[in-house]
Amino acid sequence: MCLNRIIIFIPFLFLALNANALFGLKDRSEQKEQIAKAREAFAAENYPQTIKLMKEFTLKDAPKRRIKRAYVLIADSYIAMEEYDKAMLTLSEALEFYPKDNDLRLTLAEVYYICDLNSRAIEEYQKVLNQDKNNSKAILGLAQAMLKEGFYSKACQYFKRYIELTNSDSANVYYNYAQSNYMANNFEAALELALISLEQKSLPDTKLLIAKIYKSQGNLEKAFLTIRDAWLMDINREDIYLTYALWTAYDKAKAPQGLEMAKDYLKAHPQNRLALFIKFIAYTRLNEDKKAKETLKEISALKGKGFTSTLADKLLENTAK
Amino acid sequence: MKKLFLCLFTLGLALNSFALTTKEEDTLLRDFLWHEFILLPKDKRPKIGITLSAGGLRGFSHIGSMEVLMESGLPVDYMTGTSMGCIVGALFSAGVSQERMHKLASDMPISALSSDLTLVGAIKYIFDDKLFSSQKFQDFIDNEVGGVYYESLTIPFACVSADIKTGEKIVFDSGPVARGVRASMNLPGIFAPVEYRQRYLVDGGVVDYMPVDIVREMGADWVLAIFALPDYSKNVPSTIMGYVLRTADLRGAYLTTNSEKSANFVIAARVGDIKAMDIKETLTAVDLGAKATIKDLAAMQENLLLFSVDYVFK
Repeated sequence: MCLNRIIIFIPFLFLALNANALFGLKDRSEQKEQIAKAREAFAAENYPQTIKLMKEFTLKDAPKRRIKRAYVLIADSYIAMEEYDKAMLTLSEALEFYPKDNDLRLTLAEVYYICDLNSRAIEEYQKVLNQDKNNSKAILGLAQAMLKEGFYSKACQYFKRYIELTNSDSANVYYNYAQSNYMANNFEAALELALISLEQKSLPDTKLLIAKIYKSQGNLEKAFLTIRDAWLMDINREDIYLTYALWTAYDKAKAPQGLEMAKDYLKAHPQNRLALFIKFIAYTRLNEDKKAKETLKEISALKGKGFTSTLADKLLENTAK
Repeated sequence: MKKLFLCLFTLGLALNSFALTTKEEDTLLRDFLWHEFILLPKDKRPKIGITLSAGGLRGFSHIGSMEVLMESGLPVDYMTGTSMGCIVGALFSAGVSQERMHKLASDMPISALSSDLTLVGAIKYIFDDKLFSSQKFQDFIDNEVGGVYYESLTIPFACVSADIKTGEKIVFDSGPVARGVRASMNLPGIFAPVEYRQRYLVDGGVVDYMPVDIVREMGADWVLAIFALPDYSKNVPSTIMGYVLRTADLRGAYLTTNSEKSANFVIAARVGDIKAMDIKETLTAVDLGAKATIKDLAAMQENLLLFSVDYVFK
């Protein structure tokens, strides 16, 4: 009798002792299921549903690593919806719980970078590097943020370090590295790097950069040929066309061609200040002072002011003197 | 060929998917003209002068500013500076590299300023009214610039000091560079006056915090003034030294108002509440100087291009 009781009692005792663990198992499987559902929703680009599921999840008493996954999914959803301010808030909140998590910090830095908050991006990337000095993502991120922020020499250093560390042959990395060197007036290095980038991938931007480098080096013939190539690669690129027209009009020997280019552009955009200014430059180069002055008056009469208009006003003022 | 161009371009305009904004067009024109301007020979453009303000160790921001300006390709024909601005200006004019200047900003010990910055020196300063000697700093600068004279600097440079006896402004533009630099940063009440040709010289910030007029007198047509802007609002000094430095700052701010008006463009590096002698914050100051200059760079370029417009289109 006593033995029977003991036999019956043992399973109860076992259940009582392990209840927490068993329920925990149930919780865990529920949590896993919820994360799986959120992932499915994310994969199906149903971002609001992902956010809803994961926000509920963060309130649960789940293990740290799963809470982190939830935060990452929420942030990724906001990023996918281009709601960057909310992504920043989510990631900042997550970093309060996981201050040493480099993945979260890198994502936050990327969001700052996308939003042009480059100083903040630099701060976050540096924090990652303080913990992991060879983190290649942080090094590349720093290089790009430094370039965008205008710290060209520093950007060059980080691009160099990134390439040394990863042996990267990415056309984009080499292009940005070349751009940093160009902006820091290291034309020789810039040309070498831009040519490597061009070998990997032939893009109009790379050609335009090479043309600019040639021009800065005083190699005008190559500069003109390359900028023409750049434009022919993408005839929709008005920035390349107008740069080409500007260079052409400023060059005394090519000024008539520059004038034609400006006039062609003005047919479609009669009130374009820059094209008008290019026309003015061409007239000046051709010593057609009266027409140059008339063009300046045209610019000056346009509504709204910017550098081009202020420059036109100043030139008009000087001609009056 | 021309027909091909026209055909392609008309097609391009029809698609018109990359139209530029007015701001982008302005940027394009500015960048183009800027590159043309910096390629002009020295005798075919206006002479450019830069003046660097005083500001104690806050003035390390000038290193960051100069780095950004050099990367932009700005030609520099003349330079002046007072106190910390004089130190940076002298190093720059002597061709000391940016790397070396960064190293100085990060590693320069406060003891490089004076051999009296010891316990004995401090006791003498407090109980015997014996001011610190800045001779050691003169030797330090002399070593950094390689004993160069003003006359042989890469960029003509001058700095300002004050005669504590007469209140006169003393301009150093000849002789050993290090002597002028020492006199220009010789903070009154802390360092003993530099005796030079019957004069007793102290920090130039007392009479000319940002010597715009001197750089003009040297021959600059267009002057860029760089001011290491302090922020007084965050705290009240709590030490005698704090009060001495704050008084110098306030006097400097007053003097700068006039100098700013006579400069063509002013870059105010907001160095915030970094204290004038805060040696730990020198690299932060360098960084803030660079940031302020990057922020104002486009406006500065436009200002100079408008000033030089006739040279660019000659």
